[in-house]
Order: sequence, then C-alpha cells, then structure tokens
Amino acid sequence: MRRWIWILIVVLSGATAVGLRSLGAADAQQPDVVPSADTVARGEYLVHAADCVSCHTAAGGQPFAGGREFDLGRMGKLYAPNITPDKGTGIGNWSDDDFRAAMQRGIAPGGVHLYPAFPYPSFTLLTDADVLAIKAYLFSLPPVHAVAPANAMRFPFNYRFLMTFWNLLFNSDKRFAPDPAQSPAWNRGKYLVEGLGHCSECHTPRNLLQARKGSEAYAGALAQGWYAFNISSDTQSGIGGWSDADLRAYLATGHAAAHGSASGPMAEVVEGSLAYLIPQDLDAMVAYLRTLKPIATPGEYTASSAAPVAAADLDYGASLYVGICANCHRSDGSGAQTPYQSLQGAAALHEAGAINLTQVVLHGSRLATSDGVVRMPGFAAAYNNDELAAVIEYAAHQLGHANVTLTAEEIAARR
Amino acid sequence: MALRVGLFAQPPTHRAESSVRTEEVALGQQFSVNGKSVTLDVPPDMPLLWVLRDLAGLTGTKFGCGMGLCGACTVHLDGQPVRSCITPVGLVQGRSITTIEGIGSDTIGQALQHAWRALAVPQCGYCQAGQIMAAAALLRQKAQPTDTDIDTAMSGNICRCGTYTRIRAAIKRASSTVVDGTPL
Amino acid sequence: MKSSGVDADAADRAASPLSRRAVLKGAGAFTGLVLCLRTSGVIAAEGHGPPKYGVDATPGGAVDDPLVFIAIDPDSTVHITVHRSEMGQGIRTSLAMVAADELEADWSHVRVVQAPGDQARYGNQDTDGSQSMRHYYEPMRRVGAAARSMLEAAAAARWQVPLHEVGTRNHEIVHERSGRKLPFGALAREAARLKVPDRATLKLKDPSEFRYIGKESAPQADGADIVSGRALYGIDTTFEGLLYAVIARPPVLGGKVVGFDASQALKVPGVIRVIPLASTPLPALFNPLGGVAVVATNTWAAMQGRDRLAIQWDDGPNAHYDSAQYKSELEQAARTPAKVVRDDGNALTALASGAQRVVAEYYIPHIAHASLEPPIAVAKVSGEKCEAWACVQDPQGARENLAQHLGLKAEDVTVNVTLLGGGFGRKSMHDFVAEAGLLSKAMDGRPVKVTWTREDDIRHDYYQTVSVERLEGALDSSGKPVAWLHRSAAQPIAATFSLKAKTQGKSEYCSSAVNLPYQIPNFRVEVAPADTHCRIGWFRSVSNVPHAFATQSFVAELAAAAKRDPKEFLLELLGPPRRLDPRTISDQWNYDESPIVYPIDIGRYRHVIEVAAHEAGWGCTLPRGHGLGIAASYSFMSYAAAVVEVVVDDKGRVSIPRVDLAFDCGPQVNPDRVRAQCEGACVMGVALAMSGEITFTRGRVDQSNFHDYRLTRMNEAPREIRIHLIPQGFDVPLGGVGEPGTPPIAPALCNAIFAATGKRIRRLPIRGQLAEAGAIST
Repeated sequence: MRRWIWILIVVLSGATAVGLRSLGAADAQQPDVVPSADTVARGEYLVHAADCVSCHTAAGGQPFAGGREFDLGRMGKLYAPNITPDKGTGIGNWSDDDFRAAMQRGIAPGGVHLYPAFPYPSFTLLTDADVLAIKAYLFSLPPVHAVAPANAMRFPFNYRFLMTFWNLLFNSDKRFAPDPAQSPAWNRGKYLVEGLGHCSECHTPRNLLQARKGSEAYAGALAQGWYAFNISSDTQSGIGGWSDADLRAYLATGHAAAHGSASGPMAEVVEGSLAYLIPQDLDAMVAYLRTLKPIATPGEYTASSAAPVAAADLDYGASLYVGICANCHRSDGSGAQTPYQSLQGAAALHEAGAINLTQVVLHGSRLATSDGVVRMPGFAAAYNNDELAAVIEYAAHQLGHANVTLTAEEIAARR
Repeated sequence: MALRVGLFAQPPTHRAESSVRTEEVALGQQFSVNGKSVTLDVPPDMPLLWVLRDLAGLTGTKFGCGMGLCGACTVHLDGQPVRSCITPVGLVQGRSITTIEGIGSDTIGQALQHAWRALAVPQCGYCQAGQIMAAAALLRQKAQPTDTDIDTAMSGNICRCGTYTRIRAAIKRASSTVVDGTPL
Repeated sequence: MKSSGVDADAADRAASPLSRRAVLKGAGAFTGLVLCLRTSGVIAAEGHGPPKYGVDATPGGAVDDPLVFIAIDPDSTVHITVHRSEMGQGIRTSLAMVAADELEADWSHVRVVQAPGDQARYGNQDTDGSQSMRHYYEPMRRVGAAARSMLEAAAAARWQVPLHEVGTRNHEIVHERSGRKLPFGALAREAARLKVPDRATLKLKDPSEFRYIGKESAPQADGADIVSGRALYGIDTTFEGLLYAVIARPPVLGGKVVGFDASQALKVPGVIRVIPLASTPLPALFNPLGGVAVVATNTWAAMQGRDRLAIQWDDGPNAHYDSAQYKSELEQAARTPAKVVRDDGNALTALASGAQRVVAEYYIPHIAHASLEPPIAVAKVSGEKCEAWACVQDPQGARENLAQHLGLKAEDVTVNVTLLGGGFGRKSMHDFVAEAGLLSKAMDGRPVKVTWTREDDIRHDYYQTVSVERLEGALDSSGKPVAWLHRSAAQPIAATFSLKAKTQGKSEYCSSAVNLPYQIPNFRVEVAPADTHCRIGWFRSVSNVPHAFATQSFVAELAAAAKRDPKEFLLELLGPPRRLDPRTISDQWNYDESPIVYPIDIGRYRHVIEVAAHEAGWGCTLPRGHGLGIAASYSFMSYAAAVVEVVVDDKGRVSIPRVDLAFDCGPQVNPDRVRAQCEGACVMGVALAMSGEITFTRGRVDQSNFHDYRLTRMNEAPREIRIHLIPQGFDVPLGGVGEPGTPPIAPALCNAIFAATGKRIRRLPIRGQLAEAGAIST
C-alpha cells in the first residue's frame, strides 16, 4: 500500500516539476579530449578526494572493479559497477560526454538512470574540467574484466525511469559557483565538502523520497547501518566544540586526541580519500565546515527515557570488557598501544542508540595510519547477544557516561 | 651502551635483495630495552614484538595472536603494560621498554618470579612471560589487589593450559611479600 | 592427544581389498608412517605371536640403558636425558626425577637434557596417549638404578671392598665401614666402562626410600627459565642468517594453487623470495598443505608479504563442506542403524518394551587445539643432511616425514625437540616441520623458520571430530534402566590417513562408548559412517570428549526420567565394586594395555564419584540459580569424577564458582604435576563446553583468532578448582594423567545447568543457549 503512495507522490511531484522546468536541458555533444599527463595526475588527486575507490571496490577485489554490495533494506540491494576502462564490463566505451552525464546528471549511456546511491547530486557541482580529469585518470588504469552482480531492487524502485522525476526535484544539475564574499579557501573547502567529498550524502538526513533534507544539512543520519554523526557547527551536537587542529587531525588521520578514532565508513573515507589530501585542502575543508549552520540534535546524545542500566548488567559488561576490550583500550579507555585505540571523547560512546559502538563491537574496524594499519576484530561470532549488549552498555556507561540500554534482540537485529 | 644493528642477527640481505621498494625505511628507531639503548633500522610500522624477537634477539616475549587478544606478548612501555604485537615500533621512539628478561631486576618482578616458582604456576610456560608482565604492572599500580583487581588486570592474558587459579594465588602471594615496591 | 593408530573400520576393510597397513603402504612411499602409528592390535589379530601391551606395543618400545640416558660430569653434575616432549605436563621434571631418585642423585645437581628424535636409541618418543609416565616409570627407575649400581661397582673396585658394602647416599658413593666417600664425578669415567648390569639383578628402591618419587619436593626443571624468559620454545630457535617464512595455504583441504601474483609481496622491504609449494594429494597424512610461501629477513616482513599475495585457488573436492548442513547429515546417520560394536542382550527389543523410553541426541562441534604457541619449526638442509628444531610431540615421526619429503634417509635427518608451548595433540602432527625442510631446501640450504600465525593455526588444524551422539534408553516400571543404545556418528581420525575410512575405529569407540561398565542387560553401541572433509586429529582425550559428554549427560537424563538422584543412579549403573575384564564388554582395545594388568576397577570408579560428591557437598540445599552436576569417566587407565557448581542468573548467564575433581591415576609420581594437569583439564573442559567451536562454510574454517574462537579467560574460568587425588600405593599400575581429567567436565557442567535451571544442554558449545532460552524455570 505504502509503495503505491510513494509512486503517486513521485509521479505527481515530477509532473509538476516538469511543468515548471524545461525538458531540453541536455548538453550539445562534444568531441573527446586527449588528456595530458598533468590532467591524469590531477585526476588521480580528484579521484582520491571523491573517494571513488571505497564504493567501487568489493572486499578483497581489484580497485575500481566494482561489485561492492549496498544493502538498502526494504528498497533492495545495489552493486557498485566496474569503473575501470574495460570495454566489456567497465566504462571503456564511454565518451567524455557519457562520463559527464553520469557524474553530473546521473544518466549512464543509453539513457539509463543511475540511483542516487551514486552521489551525482553532489558531483553535479564539479567543473567539467575536473570531471574529465577524473575520467582521464580512470582511463589510465589497467582494465579489469569484472561483472558486478545484478542489482536487486524491489518494486517500485526497480523502475529506473522514476529517477527522471526524482532528478528534476532533487538534482540541481548546476556547477559549483564560488561565493565572492567568502575567501578562496572557504570556497575551495565548500567545493571539496559539498562536491568531491560528498560529505552530506551520509551526514544529512533524508526525506521520504531519499533526498537530502536541506533544512537539516549535516545534522547526522544513519547510513549503511552506521551513524554519520552531526557535523554541523553546533557546539554540543556537532563539531562546533572541536578545535581546528583536532578537526584537521581527524580528517587527515582518522583520529583526534579528544575525539577518538574514525571507524566503519568514515575510516574508509579517511583511508581512501582524506589521507591523500594536501594540507591546504584539509584547511579549506575545516574553514568551510566551521561555517555550517548549527543544528542541535539533543535526542541523540542525552539519556533516553529508558531506566538506568541494571548494576548486574554493568558488572557483567565490565567482566567482558576487561577480557576483550581492555587489551587495547585499557580500563579507562585511554588506549594502550597506539593513540588510535583511545576511546576518550569518542562520539560513538555517548550516542544514545550506540549504533556505531554496536557496529564496531560486532564487526570490527580498520584504519590505515602512518603507523601501520590499526585493526579491531569483530566479536559477533563468539559472543552472544546478551554478552554484547552488556559490554556495549558498560562501555557507553563507563567511558561515555551515557545511559545506553540495549536488549539482546536489538543486538540480534544489528548483526 | 648503544646496541647497533650489526650485533643483531639481521642478515645484510635486508635491503639488497628487495629490488623494488615502495616504502622508505625510517632510519634509527631509538628506544631503550631493559635499560639499554637500542637503535635499529626498521620500518616504523613493524610491531615491537618482532623487533624484539627477530632483530634484538629477546625471545622471552612471545607471539600468541598478533591482534592484542591473548597477552602473550605483554611488555612494559614506560611502565605500562602493552601488547607488543600491535605496538608499532615507530611509536616507542625515545621510550623505555621492559621485557620479561628485565623484569627480575625490579623488586616486584622478583617477588612474582619467586611466587610463580614456589606455586609451580607454569605448565607449558609459553604464556607466563606475558602473565608475569601483566601481574607486575598490576602490583606496581596496586600493591594489595582484590580478586576483582586481578580479574581486571589479568583477563586479557589467555592461558590454554589453564593455570588461572595458580596465577591468582601467586599474585596474592607476591603481593604479600612486597609493599610499595619494597620487600617485607 | 594421539592415543592410537589407525583403526580402520572392519566393515571398510571387508569392502576393500586393502588392509589398513596396505592402505598406509600404498599411500605413496609412506612406509615410514607405519612406524609412527601403533599397530599392536593388528599384529595380534593377524597372528604374529602373543599380543603385546603397553610400551611393548609401541614403535621403539622401551630402552633402559643408563649409558643412553645418564651422563655425569667430573664435577658430579648429572645429566639426565628425557626422550619425551615437554608440553606442560611436567615430563622433563618427572621422568628425570624418577631416574634421579633411583640414582640417589641430588636434584640440585641434575640437569635435564632433551633427546632428539631417535627411537632406535631412546625407545618410543611419541608423546601422546597419556603414556609417558605409565610406560617409562619402570624403565627410568632401572636407568637410575643401573647407573647407581655401576658407580657402586666402580667404587668397590677402587676401594677393593665387597660390592655389598658399598652404598649411595645423596650424590655420593659411600663405604660405611671405612667412612670413605666419593662424589659421582670421581667415579663416572670408570663406571661408564663397566658392563651394564642385567635388568634382573637390579635392586630397585623400596617406595619407602623414595626421595623424589611421590613427593612434592623437586622443583620444575624449567621453572627458572620460564619465569625469566630464557626457556626456549619452537618459536625461539634463532641463529645467524636465519630466514623467516610464513605460508599462504589452500583455504580448503585438498585445494591447490592455480596461479599467483607475487609482485606486491616482493616490494615489501625484507621479503627475499616467494616460493610456491606443491600440494600433495589426499589423504592428508602429515603432508604439508602446499600453498605459497613468503621468505623474508624477519617474521613481520614475511607476514606483510603474504598479505600482499594475490592467489587463485582451486578449492578441490571439499569446497562444499558446510557445518550447518553437515550437522543434519550426521543426525541422519545417527538415526539410521549402523555397524554394531557392542551388543549385550537385545537392546532393540528391550527399548521397545520398556516402561519408559528416553531419547536424546547430542552435538559436539569441531574443536581446534589452539596451543598458545602455534606450530613452528626451523630447518637447515646441508647437502644430504637436514637438521631441524621444532616443538613436536612425535620427533621420530617428524624425522621420518621430513626425510621422506626431502628425499633423504631418516638417519641423515636430525629433529631437535624444543619446549612445546602447549601441544594437546596438535603437535603430534608434524606437517609444519616438513614445510620448514622444503623451504630450506628451496633457499639453497639456508636455515628457515616457518611460523604459523594464529590464523594459520585455527584454519589449518587437525581438528577434533564433529559428532552427533544419539542415545536411547529404556527404564522399567521401577525406574531401573533395562536398555541402552548409543549410536555415534563422527569422523574417524583414520580418514586423515585413508580416504576409505568412514567409521570410527576401536580406539575411538572404546573410548567412553563401548567400555561403559554399566549394569544394563541390553546394551548396544553402534558407529555410523561419516564423510570427512578436513584433517581430523588427536585432541586431548580424543573421542572420550564427545562420548563422555553424551553418555554422562544421558545418564543424568535417565536419572531425571526415573526421578532419581543422578549420583546414586550413576553408582547403581556401575554396580558393586569388582574388577571387570574389558574384553567382556567388547572392548578389545583397552588403550593397548593388558586387560589383566588393567581391568576396569569398579571400586575405584565408584570411589572417585563418592569423593567428588562428598567434597562438593552433594545433596546440600543450594540457593536459587545454583546447581551441582556430576559426571565420571574412565580413560587412559585413570578414573575421574567431577562435580561442577554453576550459577545461572535470570538472564541465562553462567558462572562457575567451583569444580571438584576426584582423580585416581594409581600412584602419583609427581603429585603436584598431576594436580596441575587436572586443574588444566577443568579449564579446557570448561572452554570446550562454553565456547569452543570450529565451523566450516564452503570448505573454509569460519574462525581465525581468539575473537571468534573463544578460549576461557581468567574471569570466566572456575573460580575455585579443587583436585582430590586418590592415594594409591606403587603396587597399583600407573594410569595416565594428561588427558583423563578432561572428559567429565563438560557433562558435569551441563548436568549442573540442568540442576539449576531445568534446561538440558544437548549441543556444545553452550554459548548463548541459556540466554536465548530466557529465564530459569526452577
């Protein structure tokens, strides 16, 4: 029933939008440009800044050869395509125009509409030159013959043409326009954050139609089962209280002394993207992030209305913590071997739903650092739901001073 | 005395035979082990465990899991217990390390070694270096630990032979012979 | 631990023209294996003379030549060679102590020397089956006594006094009448030239004269080295020019490398060479698994290099092995009539006609040994010779296997035995030593250390079998058991050595299945066929673990059905004290020991149960959530009974405040080590009951390290372990010590959970079953 309402909303809104906007917006065809070595090099940097590798690489697979699964819950499953220049299974036959259409308008050759799991609503901001530099770099890679599994989107989402209407509503299809009132650094930061880095794709809540809510930009959202935290400039809920140095360190290394370490998708972003950025670009991102509208989201961090965690559960959690957590994190969460193991100040410890804490405990985490790869194993396999709930409650209580209550059933659901 | 690389069992092939190198080796990781200064030519991400075992010839520190899960590789870094298998050597630059080979020069370490022998704690003995290092850190922090303190300090150290009840008893025995780092 | 050779199933043998020995001989040129697998039962069955038992049934038998085992320095330091491997059971202390005692040596002047693998010289060295002390107590006494007698003879000759006037006291030869004394060192050279006295003439001490045997006085031989980090294990072998290797092995048994790209691995600083290793065809035997080796200047570089290998595998015939599906296959097998290995009365009829019938199926998963020191070996090939250093339980087997793989003669291969950082049976299998040899050969004879990471150890073990044990029992109207049917479906160890092996052999079904001396008139045991898709090996207590778990749980289930106290019910099953020839209950194995010397002694069996129950306060009222459970088992010629106390809270969380284990291994040569082994057995029993499980998906092991293969930690272990050793004189034959404490722990624990909650655990590990089941019901 609900699906039909969705379709109705999409079609009606789309029809309205069609009435308001011109349909003949397609660009005129341009011949392909032969890229210079400089362009390829710039493209490589941009590919890092856009973190293409994280999504377009399957676990253990060849870089950019696609195949990574994205479980979109009731909407179905998507598999990232192969973006190596293989002519049969990759994008080897794409023209410059084809590539621009995909990056800026979400339309693949043949008029196939891409799903916005591919962040073209952000990439649409990229300049033509940057888009083509990205293509130049990708085409400089060795082609990999790899067919990604077929998408398994459920009705009605399997009808790609519906994206026509979605795009009219939610893809601006406009290139980035600098704000002359702001500094060049701020403008560069905005280009990186909003465009290449597509930060808002995870950190901004989405509406019923899976479009980002402009009014709640960067207020934090659930993405791939993880909490992409509020990174607005609110001092309590967001990162307004972070120092510039902490923020820059976190972006560059995935860790800041008073804020813990990145894990899950953010660790991938650091490893695959932010760690490659030059200092000026990191500074630019910090400058821009500072100016995001503050949005308080108090419910996420305060104690829920649930009863306090039972003392017996905390004791039980503590007994598990000393066996499996304290080896690396120490009893006080200060981190034993490397700074990356410090949990002190980590947002994940005082987020009321313990979303990310649960993910890390269940599935582990890895972060590539200049001191080597820091790994945490997942404990899902050998520890039961009740044990995991107890140790998470204990960690949140003891180290995050948060009253988190989890049931074994909730853990089971997040496995 | 500064130990130099030539003293270790490091064949000269280390660099010559790897024809293609992507990473630059950071020269001169310097730290102290059991009071002796050590300077080594190793990549900074090499875990301290393998530096100690394979390059510095200190094999008392054991490999058990490589993931900080079993405690067999426990050493002290500036007095704090750390799992050397996940401690990048680059992070111990300029710091002070104590291993099982050096713990006996300390009153608490001696008391523990004595208690371990008196109660015949070890079976295979493989984990016991790590157990003693963890126990030494505990007693330094808390001279008269409770059972809960012992659980907290020792549950990260796995003993597959199952010597836990004797380890607990030996810690208590050692603690009864040492107060504030001095023997009774 | 390895407790017997390949007892190929008779049905399989009938179906195949190949006898078991022929199968082994046919497996390439692996005739050497025959030597390291015990064959006595077969020899007897095939009519080659009277049956041999005990140490005589083992390859190499016993050697008691003092010149082999004892050397004395001019300063009187006594070197005693121990030819069995030390893996925590204390054998280096205990065997040396036995010889020292008879030699009348002062322990503080005794040094222990570890023998390399050489069974022709030292006698059997395969350290398994809880047999070191059982088999070498007497020979080592004779070694000490003969050496003493030779020293005394040398002194008598020097002093020109009658031999009977010369004695030995505390490291000195004395002539009481003249008051003359000489230290051992002064006589050693002369003594060594004398003829070794005949066994029959040796005068052994009366037990009342023992100074170390049976006492608590001798400190651990390696204690000082262990607590100071000087003890040398397999991983600690190091010398100039040593190279370090790790190997990427096929993830599925029987798989092989199709192709690989080493370019990234070779870029790692310190990596020297990447070497493909051929996979050998199944059966697995003790062959290296093949794969791709990375050789480097240090272990870390080798590990980093391996991470960067890109390898395509052909998974081979076992790629479908899936534990969830396999469990139902085993269940199906356990529900289908199978090969009968004991059949007293008519169990099937009695089951049908009993007043009350109880049926239960128990599941015990694969278990990995996970000794804290993983398998590690160093080898150095020089021309036609090879020397290796390794943590092996079976150095002679390792030697022959290494020689075989290098194409050398066994006598040109030396295997030096280091301390073992735990063994538990894993290091009876010495595939890893052959790997080191092959790599040293590939590196032109440079010494190579092969280190198994924890992931390698968990994923490429010789696992304890998985099994489904189905039990059916009938009670008559008075609650007395009248029928028992036990059908066991498990992968036989023989499958590691022969692709034809499908059913358990007698060393397996005579471990706590066939040999239950219960007074049930209709008693039937069957073994069901099972396919094997991974390497199966000896794990501490071997088949006693699954069989005792099932049968001791089932005894408690029958008791509950009969509304009887489980301890009383168990004692009634055993019946009155008596000695039972195991052959009368179809046990033709008896751990290869004589059924006359080692009958099943029901009096001792009952006594351990009574002691454990008494010490644990059996029958007293316990608080809500507490429960006591009892289980008993007889294995490796020793009797063990455990009472476990559990507390289960309303969320199903289990803790174990106390275990009482009563243990009768006959006389205790080194009582403190007996206690220590029993304490360890309690913890290992808890680990396998609570959390230990290896599973396979698509032929691959799902677990990899201690975060997903969970061992018991200090705060999860029993808080108090009380070992009650039953005193026995030295007129009683010695029993095993290393293994027999383990089997009763898991069933006693689950019986305690039943007592506390009313919930019966039939599937190991317990893990979250109680938490999932919710609150306790009583």
